[in-house]
Amino acid sequence: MTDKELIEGCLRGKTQYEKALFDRFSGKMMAVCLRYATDTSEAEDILQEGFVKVFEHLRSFRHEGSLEGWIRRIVVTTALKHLRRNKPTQEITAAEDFHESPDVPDAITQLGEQDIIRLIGQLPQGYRMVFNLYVIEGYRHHEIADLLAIEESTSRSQLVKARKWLQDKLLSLTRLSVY
Amino acid sequence: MMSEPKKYQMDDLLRQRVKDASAPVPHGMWEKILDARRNQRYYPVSWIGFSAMVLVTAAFAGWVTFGENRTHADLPLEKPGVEQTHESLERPTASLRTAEKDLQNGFSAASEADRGGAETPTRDVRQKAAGQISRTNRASGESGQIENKAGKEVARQEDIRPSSATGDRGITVSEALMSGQESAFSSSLQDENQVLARSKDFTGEWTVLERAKPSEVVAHSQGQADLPVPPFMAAQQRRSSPSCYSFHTFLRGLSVDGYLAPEYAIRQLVYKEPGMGEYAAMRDETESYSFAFSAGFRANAHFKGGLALRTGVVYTDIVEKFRYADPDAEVRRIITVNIDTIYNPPDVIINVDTLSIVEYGAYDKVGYNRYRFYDVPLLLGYELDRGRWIVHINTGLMLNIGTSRRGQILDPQSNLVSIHSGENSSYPAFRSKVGSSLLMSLGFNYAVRPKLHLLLEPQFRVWMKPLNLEDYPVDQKYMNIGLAMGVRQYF
Repeated sequence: MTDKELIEGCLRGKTQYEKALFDRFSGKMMAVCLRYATDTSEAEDILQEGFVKVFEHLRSFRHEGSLEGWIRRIVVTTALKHLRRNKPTQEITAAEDFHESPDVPDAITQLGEQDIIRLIGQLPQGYRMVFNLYVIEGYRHHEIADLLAIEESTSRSQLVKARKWLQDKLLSLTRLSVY
Repeated sequence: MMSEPKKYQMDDLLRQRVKDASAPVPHGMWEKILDARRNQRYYPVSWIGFSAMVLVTAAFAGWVTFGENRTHADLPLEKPGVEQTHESLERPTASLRTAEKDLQNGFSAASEADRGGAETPTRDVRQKAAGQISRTNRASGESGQIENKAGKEVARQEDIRPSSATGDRGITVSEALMSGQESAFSSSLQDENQVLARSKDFTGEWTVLERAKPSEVVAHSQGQADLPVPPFMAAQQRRSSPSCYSFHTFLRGLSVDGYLAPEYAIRQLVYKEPGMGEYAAMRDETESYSFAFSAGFRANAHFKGGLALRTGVVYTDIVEKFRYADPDAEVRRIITVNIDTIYNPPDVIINVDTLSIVEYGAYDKVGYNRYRFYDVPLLLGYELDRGRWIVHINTGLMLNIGTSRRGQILDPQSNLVSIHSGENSSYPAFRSKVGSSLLMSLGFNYAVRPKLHLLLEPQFRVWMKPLNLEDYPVDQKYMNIGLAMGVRQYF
């Protein structure tokens, strides 16, 4: 079934089409939610709220991009709103430089997808949101600043800290696996 | 010009690994989403209905508390004489000043009023000849007493009624002369039951009135006057006067309502077992509201203080459209075709045969499901009289004494099953009695005749229990919003 057929079925109110749409995209969106949420329970809440919005606003999908991209944007926005509602944004300090270790690529390849998702999920909230938005979703700093209602410099600073935090974790995990 | 952000291999690698990654979706997530969406549809409607009821109730309460403090007896009626009388009530003080000047023998009925106590109209007097209502000012004494020179009470305003001498017009008694008193006019009085009275409307002309006999006042209190409101209500309005012959019985009167109410039925299906969310969604998809109504008779007992108890019988019918297209259904059609022709002169033999054609898919089943309820209402009402209008607010229970159903639904295995009550093959999903439902309503009565009122009553009703049996995996609940239209007959 194509995305277009799925959408048309959903718009006619057919539950089996809605279920098919959910089955097709829920796994990927759950991974997105886990990257943003602090724990699994929060990720489930975001996924549920996100899909309710998807079905509610499906009529406004204009077929200009991919359906998956559209759903992902809704889920990410829901996650950001959810996190902003539940927890205050962290205070930001001045940006620092980041020096990439040559051992990091090897460390990444040694880990599975779920491990990496879990690792990103363990980032402190401020770092996590900026890292996900910049590195994984491809947003620019000024867009992130708008989305999170923070300064652009704050976004840069958070990203640097997130990279450092992740690099340290990745390297320590690799050392653990070597020994 | 901004510099290009530095690229890190770590970023690219992480993006590649997680961008399209999947994670296991928790069990029951789809049901949760279906539930959330159903609630999204259900709650706004129910909240709108509930809020509307609360707003109307608040408006009603505000009207009762802060509204114009007019009783029915104070309102202008449509009869010409009475209208004029009411007009005179608006300027009672001037009228009484005139009266005071005119009274030479000291039997003034206006002195108290002239000191400012005559602003409030208090009492209606039944006109003997025309049977109409007139108004009487508190013309003398603190409670409408009429005194002689020595200050002794000789009559009360409410005991005076206009005689036939007043014709069709009601009068406002501003002053009065009693029989036996010294007066240039006293010779006009035939006996001690007569009174000479006059008002602004009859300035300079004295009218012979008769003092009402106690039995007539009682009859008047019991509502035998030609009032366009129910008799008990007229009596209720008079209860505040200590001088009125009170109607002490707690029960004020009885009436019967007959009504028909078009309704909108809001249904909610809530699954109770894991995995049944899809079934609930399938039922929501195949069944939709078509129309609903209720009709009934209510007997009303009206009590002191505006309270009323109502009971009777109410029939409610909720009709839903059932539409189901079974993609796996077989439709078998038998058609007759000519399959061969053999030419054998002189006869022509035509070989005829039949063909059976089986079509798969799209078997459309359309029908109407009916849910019928038979209830006994037990309602408590509070009634407020506003002239020709009576406003009442009611709440209470509708006790279900039986239900019945017709139609078809899908069972949890997506089979088409009958829900026809009374059939052995009927799917065992529904109760024969559904307990009680809560009803709130705000009614408006308009008096077209003294004892016959038109009734308009917005209602809100919610069933406290679902219609289905305990072991059915989905709870089917209803709430109805309706507008009852009917008549009320007082006895």
